[in-house]
Amino acid sequence: MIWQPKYETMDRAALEQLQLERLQATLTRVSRNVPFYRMKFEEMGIDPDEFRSLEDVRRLPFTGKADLRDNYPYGMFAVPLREVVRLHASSGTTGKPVVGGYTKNDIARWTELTARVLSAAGVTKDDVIQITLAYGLFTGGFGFHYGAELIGASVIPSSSGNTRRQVAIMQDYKTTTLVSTPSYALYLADTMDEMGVNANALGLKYALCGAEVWSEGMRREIQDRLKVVATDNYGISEVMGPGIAGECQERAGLHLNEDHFLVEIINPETCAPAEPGQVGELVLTTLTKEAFPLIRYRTGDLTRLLPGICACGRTFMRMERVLGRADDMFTVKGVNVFPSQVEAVLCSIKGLTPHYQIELDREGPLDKATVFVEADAELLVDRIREAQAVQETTRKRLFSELGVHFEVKLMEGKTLTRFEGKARRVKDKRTFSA
Amino acid sequence: MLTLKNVDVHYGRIQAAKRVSLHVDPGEIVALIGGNGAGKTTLLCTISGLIRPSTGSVTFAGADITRHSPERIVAQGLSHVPEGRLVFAPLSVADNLLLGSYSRHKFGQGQAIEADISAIYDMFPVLGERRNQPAGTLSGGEQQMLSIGRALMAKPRLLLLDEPSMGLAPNITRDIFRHVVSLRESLGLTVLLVEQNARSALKIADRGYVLETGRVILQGQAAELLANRDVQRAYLGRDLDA
Repeated sequence: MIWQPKYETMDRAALEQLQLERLQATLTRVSRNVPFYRMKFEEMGIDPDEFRSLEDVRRLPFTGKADLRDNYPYGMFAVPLREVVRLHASSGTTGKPVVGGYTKNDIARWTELTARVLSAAGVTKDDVIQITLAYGLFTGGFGFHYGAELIGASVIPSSSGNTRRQVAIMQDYKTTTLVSTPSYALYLADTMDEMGVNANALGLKYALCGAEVWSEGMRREIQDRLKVVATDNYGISEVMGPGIAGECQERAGLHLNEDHFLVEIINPETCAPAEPGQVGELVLTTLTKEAFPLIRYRTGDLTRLLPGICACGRTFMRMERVLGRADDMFTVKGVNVFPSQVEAVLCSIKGLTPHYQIELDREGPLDKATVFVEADAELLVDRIREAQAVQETTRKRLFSELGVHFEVKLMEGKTLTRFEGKARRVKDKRTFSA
Repeated sequence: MLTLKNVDVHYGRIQAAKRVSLHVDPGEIVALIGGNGAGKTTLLCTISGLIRPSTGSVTFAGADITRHSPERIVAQGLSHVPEGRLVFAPLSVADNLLLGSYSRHKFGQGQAIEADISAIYDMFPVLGERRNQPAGTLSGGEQQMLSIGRALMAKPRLLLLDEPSMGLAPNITRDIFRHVVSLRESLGLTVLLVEQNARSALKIADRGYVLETGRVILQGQAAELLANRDVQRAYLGRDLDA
């Protein structure tokens, strides 16, 4: 179902008019209310009154995560704190976290947007939805929670952790929809196996997976093991949280909620607009946020825009699943590699699972990259020769796809660390001293 | 239905509207709110062709009307109810209404126009009762109704309403706003409403734009604007810090 057909199926000209109106109002407000932007505009000689087309956005300065940290906690807000009704914060794995504020209207709009994403994934008021994303400072849990309530679904705010209990809830409460990270969805599947729970006996229909990079192979595994239609969705805490983009059941890219966000793809090195269809960094400008508007925020997420119109009838542009973070990209012998690329190769090889870890180390002066991947149990135990062949194929495939040599180590099932939050796939043990 | 894109309006060297972009969809009631001198009336006059914008475009029903004359714009289905009603005081109510149909006058239209005038009397019975009275002797509320009736005589698809509540008692204002809503229901009219009385306007509107010193500073669903603290403080007379 299309939750807000009036917007989600808008024709391009009407959408661009709406975007322009909203962009102009946003620019007027940030230049008045946010000292950071007022100063930046003055420095660069930018008159917000001069913005007359959506392309003009390219003249505006970027906002980076560092800018948000420098203005910690409330420096970027465009309204006084007493108008803010909710605060969330990003994880802050490096340095200070980023605090995001929401006015009443921001919350109402956010709710509509997560309702759109949930509806696109198939959720209706008849569904029982188990939200295993963390409730708390993280935007995931609360973001989906209110959207699901708006649709009228029955929400189980089970939050993250306590996996055996999650499975029991899924069984007893007859959960139809799982909201989780993709790696946690698989962890749940493992736990079900351990507990002897058959996914066929559950009521699961849909899984909304997001908050980390995953692959088509991982989707297949989630769909097979949990017997669901698994869709991808995109959100970023600094900008709003979930609800920025989501896949419909066509599973052919994530519809961006363009009436609320202006989307650009740039070359992360030159900051120039990427060629149409090229992979680049996703840059978002908020068009309706009151408390915490952002101009050209560099998400650090790499993706590309997909051409054409989706069969579902939505007219919003689609982006490809996020291919990686500009910052989880790693370099081996000078070659840029995304964990998602490694994952795609692993998933394409029979006998391997999508549970893997990449270790980077040095061998003398040279980089050495090793992929630890869990293989099917019978392969390791009974068919050693075959296992060696799989190992060899993997090594060759990784080299041919990525242009860099990886050592491949096959591991027994469930020996690698499982992640309940965001998966951290890359362990970099290289030291850079001489 | 109506789209403004980057409209600038100057009075001599004073800039009264700055790159204003807005749109009105068919069947919508859209409120344009803002304080004195924000540029609301200027924008309405620009739409109806009384003022020429220095840059930008006005599109109505798919046609660019930026440079059209006011009478041509009226003939295209866009009527303007001016601020302060501006009824022709010495003329009778009936003659005021007849003048409203000026753009339609053609041989053989007499009966249709007569029928439309009686339809206006059905809508505003008080005008029917006073059809022969000079318009200047009507009360403020009645004059406002006459002014709206006169605009309707041109058979518009979009009505521009400038400050219909000005100088009216609150209960009369409510009455006028009720009429505006029923116009949409009975005639399928689309309305762009300018008001200083932001709360009443946003209550009947679908969406709104907030103008300040010639710029749109906020736009959105009427309910969102009513809930916005900036709007509440500036235009709804609520002291939030008290």
